[in-house]
Amino acid sequence: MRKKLVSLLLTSVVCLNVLAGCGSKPAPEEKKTPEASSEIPEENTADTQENEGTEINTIDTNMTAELNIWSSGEELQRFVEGFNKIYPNITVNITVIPNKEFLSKLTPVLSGGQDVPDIFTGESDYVKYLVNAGVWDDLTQEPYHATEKLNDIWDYVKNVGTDDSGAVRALSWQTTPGSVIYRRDLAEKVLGVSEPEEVSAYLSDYNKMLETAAAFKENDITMFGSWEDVMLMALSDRQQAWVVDGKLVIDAKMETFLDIVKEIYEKKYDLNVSQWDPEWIAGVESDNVFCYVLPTWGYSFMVKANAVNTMGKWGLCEGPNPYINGGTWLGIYKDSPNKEAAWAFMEYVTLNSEALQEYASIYGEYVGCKSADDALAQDQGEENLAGQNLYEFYNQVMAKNPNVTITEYDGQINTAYKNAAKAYATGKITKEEAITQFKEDVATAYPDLTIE
Amino acid sequence: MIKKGIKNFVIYGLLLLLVAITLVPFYLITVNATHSSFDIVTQLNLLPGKYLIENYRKLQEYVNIWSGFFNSLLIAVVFMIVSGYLGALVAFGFEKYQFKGKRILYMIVLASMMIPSQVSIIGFYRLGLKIGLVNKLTTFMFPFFAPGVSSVSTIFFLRGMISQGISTSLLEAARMEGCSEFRIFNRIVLPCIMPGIATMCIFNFVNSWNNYIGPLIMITDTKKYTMPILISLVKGIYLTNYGAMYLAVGISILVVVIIYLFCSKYIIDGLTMGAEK
Amino acid sequence: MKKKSINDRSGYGYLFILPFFIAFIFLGLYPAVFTFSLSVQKWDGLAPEKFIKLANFERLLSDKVFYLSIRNTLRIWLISFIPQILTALLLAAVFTTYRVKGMGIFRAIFYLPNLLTAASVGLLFHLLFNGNKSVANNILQALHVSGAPFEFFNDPVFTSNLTSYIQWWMWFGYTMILVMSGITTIDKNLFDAARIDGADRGQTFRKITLPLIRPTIVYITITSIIGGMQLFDVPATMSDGTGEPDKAILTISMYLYNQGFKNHNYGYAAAISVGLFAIICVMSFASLKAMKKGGNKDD
Repeated sequence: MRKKLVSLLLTSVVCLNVLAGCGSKPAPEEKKTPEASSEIPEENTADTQENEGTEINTIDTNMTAELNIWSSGEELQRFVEGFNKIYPNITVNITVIPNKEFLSKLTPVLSGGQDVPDIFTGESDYVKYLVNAGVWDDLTQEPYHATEKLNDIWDYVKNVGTDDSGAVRALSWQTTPGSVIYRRDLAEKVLGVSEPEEVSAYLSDYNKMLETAAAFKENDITMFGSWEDVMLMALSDRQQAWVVDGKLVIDAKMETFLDIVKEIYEKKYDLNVSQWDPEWIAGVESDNVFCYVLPTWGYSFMVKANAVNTMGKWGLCEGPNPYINGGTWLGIYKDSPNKEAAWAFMEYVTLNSEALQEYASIYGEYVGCKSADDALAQDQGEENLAGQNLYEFYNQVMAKNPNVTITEYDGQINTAYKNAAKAYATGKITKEEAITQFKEDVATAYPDLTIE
Repeated sequence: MIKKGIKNFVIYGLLLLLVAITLVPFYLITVNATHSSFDIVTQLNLLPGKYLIENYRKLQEYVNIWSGFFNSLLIAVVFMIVSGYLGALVAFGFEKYQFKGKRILYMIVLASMMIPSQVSIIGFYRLGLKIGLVNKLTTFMFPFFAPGVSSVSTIFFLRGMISQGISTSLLEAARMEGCSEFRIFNRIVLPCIMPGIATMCIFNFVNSWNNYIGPLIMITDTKKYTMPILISLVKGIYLTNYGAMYLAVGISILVVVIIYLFCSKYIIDGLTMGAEK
Repeated sequence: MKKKSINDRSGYGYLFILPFFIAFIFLGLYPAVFTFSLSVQKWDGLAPEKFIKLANFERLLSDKVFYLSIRNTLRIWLISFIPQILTALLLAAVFTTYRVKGMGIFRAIFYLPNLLTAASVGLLFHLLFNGNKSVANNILQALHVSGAPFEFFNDPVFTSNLTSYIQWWMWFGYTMILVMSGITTIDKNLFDAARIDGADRGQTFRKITLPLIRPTIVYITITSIIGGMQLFDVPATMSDGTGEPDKAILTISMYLYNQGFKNHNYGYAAAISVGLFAIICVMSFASLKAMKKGGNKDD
């Protein structure tokens, strides 16, 4: 009984990017068991076999171990079955801890050095903190020697997982480029066009985007779900991260963004709700929200998961700038007694192109492994996107190298910025006051940063 | 007569208004826990709906609310019994015995109320890490000091009761009979102040049951999460599944309400009787 | 010479009060001392502590958010405590001077909210008031209240007062029971004497009951201050730990928790808790003094 209780607890989903089935509908797809890996595209077989050949030389697939993994989402669980086909004697115990609590639960065990999981995840908000804290092993060193294998990983994944000294400490199964997820039918109605390239033309810069929003408003259609969505894109519009050399930097683009938020609020271009509010989600099924500005996870876990009546009416196009936002990384604890088994799992989850293709074909997630994404881009498009292939689309976004500006301070700083932007937009304070408030909030959270 | 009627009208009107204010949130929980999330956000619901089972199923899908319930219950019961018994013992020691430094020691007891649990909490956390207490014993030890105020008030309250309710001559008589001091406490003092102890036990139970910040900091193991922690996570987990969230709140409340239905008379009578003695 | 051997049971006295001191020293005092020592250090939870003298306190004294959190905590407490004690006195007066039918049921109902898990209550009110389609807004719209739907949680004044209201709602029944138990300890003969002297019910309550339950009121006030200054659960779960909007319900305890367990400034969080301790001491002594003074004047 106890075991059962525990396992029920383990399946708790949280964090923003693991949202499937949160609406009033039953959870989609994710409950299906992964099918056998018979669907691998022909062209990759040779490659894979080669990989396996080298693995057999170095890794014992019969090794016995018990791995403890802490994850802020339930995705890792989806890999276990496939992993156990290769490594039948490695038991994988995954504990899901909500993202909000993840760090405060992890810190005490790391600090005490007891009961530390062999592998634990880190979300984009704080992954840099963990990477720089040196609690994860360097994967380019003993016993991993992963340097060569990392070539098949998107730079974004690799760079975020690399610390200031150049040690690669964390990797991910996913990459999270963004898009404007828009309604084709509404675009046709208001703009007279519906194909991604054509719609993109109406969103080529932020001013143009707001003009387009005005056009939709005239037709009683709200352009965005929430301005908070747009912020995800605007963050990649910056040239500089929030913190450079220990100094808080407010990129000029972010100051401009405050006015964009104000305009969206005042002219009611969004639903005036926060992300994940029920109305925000309900907007997917309504006929008066034109688009959601969200990365890969937003499409698969929010839009696609909730689109029933609007199934097939969606498209992905680019906004003013290419962007990339969010993601979950994982690394191996530096003092783990099960490093070999942990690496076997991590390799399977992040570097095994075959496994990732299978995973992606079931769950529709864009993955961190380039060859897997390339293979999937050859497939047929998605029904929900009216035949558009999301891998092909995201590959294009990745090719444009969106600016990546993740720092270890992002979680708190983004929240402080959102609060300031909201206070300014709703007219409580002036723009100067908003920036002052923002700086003060950052100083409060991170007293060691230089703030001018 | 008319004047009396008006007076009654005012009094009962006031009382009923307060009853309504008190109970409205309970009613809203009941109504919303039985509706689908869609209904909750799209319309005003004033009558219970039919989605209870569905909401419960959804709730169970991600979190086992009952494991949190039993963790909380276990901690609260242990805390309640121990703080009730020891509180009475300490109160008895202070009230019926003469010893050097009694005044100062009692001042310390009262002054310890001034140390908020938050002051100890950071130190306790650091200490816990150093000696490896996180997740271990603390699950059970923590409640003993976190609502420290309550056990001090137990001592304070029971001391008053002993002073009023138990005459020194009674104790002397017992001693004449050859009763040991412990026996006097267990056989004479305890039964006499039982209503008061029961009352304080309920208060202590509630304090422990409601303790949020303590377990929030000290428990990292999901299996040991208490009810308040699970509840605070519910919003993160169900995000927009309002029906399930209301149901979780409802379950955390329902059981307490049921217990209360059976004990409320005892709690309040206990207080009154204790005070009258 | 003075020693009366037959009466010397002081050993038992010490023995019986020992459990309190063991618990207090190990679970209260020692960790508190540890907190004090941590307050002069810098510690992020992972790296070893670093002694930084009084830097944390220097920062604390010039920390606007800290002062803001003190103001918030005081405001929320005061706005909930005054109605709470007034309601409790009124109800206690009604219940002890009139023969109210169903008094037991009324009392039981009023006390009920106090039993609820505060974290649940915070979440509940969040659910009831959050968003344009919240239950509260649905009700207001159904009643055609102008201006509805309201953005409740965008309004700092409303959010702060809602927190006070919740605290009132949860505690007035408890306070009422304590006041009533204070009243029942008063010698019945005093009331009889007053009636014979021709005092009406209101006079009796003002002249006899109120002065005699002063110790109860003092007790209630001080415990309420101590509890109120530590307010955490309701505002934390209602605002997802942030204290928003505009940090209006960021209490001292929430600030302490966020600095320590969210921002990993444990040393600074320790300094905040020392500050909290000082505030509670000052306020408790002040209210104790004030009430004693008031008491002497009357006598």
